[in-house]
Amino acid sequence: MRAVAFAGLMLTPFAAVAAPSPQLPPSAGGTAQGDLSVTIYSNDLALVQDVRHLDLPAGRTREDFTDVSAAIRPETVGLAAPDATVIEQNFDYDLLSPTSLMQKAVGETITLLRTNPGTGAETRERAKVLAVNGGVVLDVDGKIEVLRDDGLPVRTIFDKVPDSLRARPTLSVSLDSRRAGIRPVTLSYLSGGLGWSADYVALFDEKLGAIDVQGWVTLRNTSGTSFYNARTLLVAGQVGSNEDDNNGAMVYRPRAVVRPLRRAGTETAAREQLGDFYLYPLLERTTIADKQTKQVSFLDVKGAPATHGYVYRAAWNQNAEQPESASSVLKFSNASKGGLGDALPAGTVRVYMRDARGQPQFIGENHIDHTPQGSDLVIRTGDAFDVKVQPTVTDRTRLSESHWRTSMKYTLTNAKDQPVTVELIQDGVPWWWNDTRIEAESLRSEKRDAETEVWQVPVPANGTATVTVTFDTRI
Amino acid sequence: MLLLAGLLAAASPAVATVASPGADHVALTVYRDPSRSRQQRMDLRWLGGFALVTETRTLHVPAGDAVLRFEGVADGIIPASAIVTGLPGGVIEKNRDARLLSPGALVDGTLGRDVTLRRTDRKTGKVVEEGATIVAGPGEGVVLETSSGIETLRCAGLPVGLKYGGVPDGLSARPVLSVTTRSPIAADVTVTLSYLAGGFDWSASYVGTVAPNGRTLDLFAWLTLANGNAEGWSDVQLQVVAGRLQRRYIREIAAAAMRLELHCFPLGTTTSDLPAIKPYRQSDDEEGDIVVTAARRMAPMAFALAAPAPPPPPPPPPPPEDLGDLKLYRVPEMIDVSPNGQKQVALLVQPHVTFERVYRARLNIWQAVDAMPATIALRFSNDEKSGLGIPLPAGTTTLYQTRDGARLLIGTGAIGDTAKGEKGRLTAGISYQLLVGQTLDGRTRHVTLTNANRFAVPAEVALGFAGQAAIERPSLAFTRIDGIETWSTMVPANGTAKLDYRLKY
Repeated sequence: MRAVAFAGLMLTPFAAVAAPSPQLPPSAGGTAQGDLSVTIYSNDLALVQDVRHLDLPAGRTREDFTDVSAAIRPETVGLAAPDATVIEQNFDYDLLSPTSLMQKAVGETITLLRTNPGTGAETRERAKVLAVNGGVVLDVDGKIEVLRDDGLPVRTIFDKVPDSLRARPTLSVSLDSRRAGIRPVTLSYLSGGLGWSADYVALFDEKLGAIDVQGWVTLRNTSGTSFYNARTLLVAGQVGSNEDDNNGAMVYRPRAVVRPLRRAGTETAAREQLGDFYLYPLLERTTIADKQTKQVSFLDVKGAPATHGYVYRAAWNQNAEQPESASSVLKFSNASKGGLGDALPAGTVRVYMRDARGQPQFIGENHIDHTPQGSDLVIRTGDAFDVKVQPTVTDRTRLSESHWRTSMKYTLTNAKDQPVTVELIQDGVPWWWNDTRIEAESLRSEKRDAETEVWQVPVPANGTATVTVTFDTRI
Repeated sequence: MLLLAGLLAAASPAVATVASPGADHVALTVYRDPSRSRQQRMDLRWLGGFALVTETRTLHVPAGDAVLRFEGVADGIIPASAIVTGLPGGVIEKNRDARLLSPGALVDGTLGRDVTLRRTDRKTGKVVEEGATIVAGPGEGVVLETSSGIETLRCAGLPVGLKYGGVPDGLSARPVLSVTTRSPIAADVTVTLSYLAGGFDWSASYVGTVAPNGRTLDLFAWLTLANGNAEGWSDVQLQVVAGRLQRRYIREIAAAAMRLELHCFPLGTTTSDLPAIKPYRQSDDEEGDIVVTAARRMAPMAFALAAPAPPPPPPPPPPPEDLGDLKLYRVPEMIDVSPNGQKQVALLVQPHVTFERVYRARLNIWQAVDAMPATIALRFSNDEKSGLGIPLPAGTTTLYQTRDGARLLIGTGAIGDTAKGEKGRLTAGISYQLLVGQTLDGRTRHVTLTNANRFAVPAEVALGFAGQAAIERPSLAFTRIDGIETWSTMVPANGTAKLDYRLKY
């Protein structure tokens, strides 16, 4: 066994008292946070509910709420206190600093403590601050001088911190309480800086045709504040709509080489739902520290069926002087039968395979969007080293001003010692050629949509396959 | 205000923290930067590749709740990719904390609490200490409450320092990866920690030496590996993966070292505008303490890439194994991977590779050209017949020829991932002995090749681009190579070759 040490031995004794813990609020210093519930949405937004037990006097009172999120959206604050009504809510961000302190001291009297550099003797004087504009102008016993004009040391001592200056942006609420006493006060607000996504670890076994998938929710806190001992709920969905912002304008959505969602599912997952959102509650309270990435497991499926295939997508008129790698894809379903059996929140799928010695090795990753249960997924993991396609334009003939004949030859090569099937896609026969037809082809194609022709091309082990196609296009 | 949270804390059980200072055994699988083209060399300051780091660690897990801190992980770690296996109680949660201990974080974490203010008399050296409370900081200066009143830090022109009672919670020297577990028993366990980490890259560096007969070449390849992490490992089992992987960008939380900026109230004086006098600001001293987290990435540029092969070359590793659609090379020996370092080990040795030497030029069919030099390429087939027949990972090529026993560089270039059975090409420089000219005469084109060599050379002239369908009536036969109309010919020794063709429109 290698060296093992408890925190108390590793850190200074002071820090050991406050060993970081997922369960406890910090014992040193403390936090003003109460019973916290944090609901985190996928699009960098969180709802924080903070129940604090406050001792409110009867009548009007002003309460400062410290330790709220530094990325708070103050206009979203809501406060509920039994037997009290909210008069006003303030968010003060006049921050205390040496400069603001001096600026607020204009007209006030401060103390100057001068040290004689030769003798070390200290003299104390009172001075009135007249102005702070690039330098500090003082009235000392009726004589006007500039602070530290001679460059000699002067300690400037202020009597107090002005009430309006805060060390941190501070939320304060004025309440009118009908009675005095301790009661739970519920503070809720929206905060930026908290977001989450899913991370999937997929271990693919090609021989068995199966994947083991572990799903982790990954939440990231960049809000500038730690949330202690919080009940945490993750919502798979985005609140707010992008479509409204565009005022109906068309949004161009580029098509990926391989779109992950091949068929959208129609099954409902056995998860708690809130409207159309799936909810992922964390089982235990947790502390979400500032600048922390936290992961908690939510999915563990063993032996779901999966297959592996190849996709190559050629652009219109694409000619390659050197063969190009086909995309290597992993295909699986998240249906209840023969699949992962759960809705998949958006995130990154990392695919691993075991090498000859049984060690899992990384073979690529891709992003999936929120995916309803029952969907068929095709994850592009990367380029295939041994399976390549060389599209060549073999002939282009202009039959008339608006009528062309185009001949293509696709040479597919397979350097693997087993046969493969490549899904060959001729993409983007452009829409302005409103009459595009295949005049001749050496292999039967499937027209997936007006712009997409697909051939399933078997390529023998260590062999070559050729597909020739003649397109007839008219405007 | 009553702090109920504090009362709750006292009731909860204590959580043990176990630190694992380092790995017993490390296996590194290094992947090439997917966005780096085959011509691009690795930039040692910005390595875009990555590695799968698989560490075996032994640690003692107490019964009950425990936090296990994994220290000494690569700083380029992608925390969301971390996988921990082998814990008897499983993993409840994985955390990565990026709040770093810094002068600013000390002020921030001690805000509202007591510190010790130390004043030193410049003349006598006498030290006076007094208690103080930090009331503001660290962003725009530090304000303190002392027994005298409210003061600002380092605005008086006197030497003043702060002493803190301890390190605030949750701060560490480097980002920390930890997991919480709930073990049914106390046990010594061996856990496997694997994660993806950036700041790595590798490349194949091919060195070809053309045999004196000019018909074969000896091909040798280095595996050039670079580690831009501040972490190094010894006795590493190293693998590299050839092929291009799909990666997706994820926004990670960068290591966050809070800045301390000691600003003072305006200290302009009646002589501030005079250029000779710059008011001395204490804060100038403090700037040096600010941690710039990106600094380590700016490590000085190291040495050049492709070192010439020393004779005889070291033995190469066994041929690669298939990893899905990728190729995995194992380095047979355990090696050391040093921080911010590049190293080279042998990747393959293939003597007597036969090749075909060809001069190539490409013409724009609408443009006249006077005397364009042709490029020389060595074309080979990646099959057993030609002395190859192995997967060739993408990399840079340098080609040498021997002259009086000394090797001279004749060409540099690059090859892409080349599967078994594919064609490959090594660039062997540019020839001003074979020049290409084209003149325009209406829709007619005249192409002239001139050869100043004392021997005939094979030449290929590609005309235009694929699918152009604009050429007719060539005076000599054409072939279509890779979709492009190509004129292949032998140019006689000290002679010329001519071609005419017409454009259809």
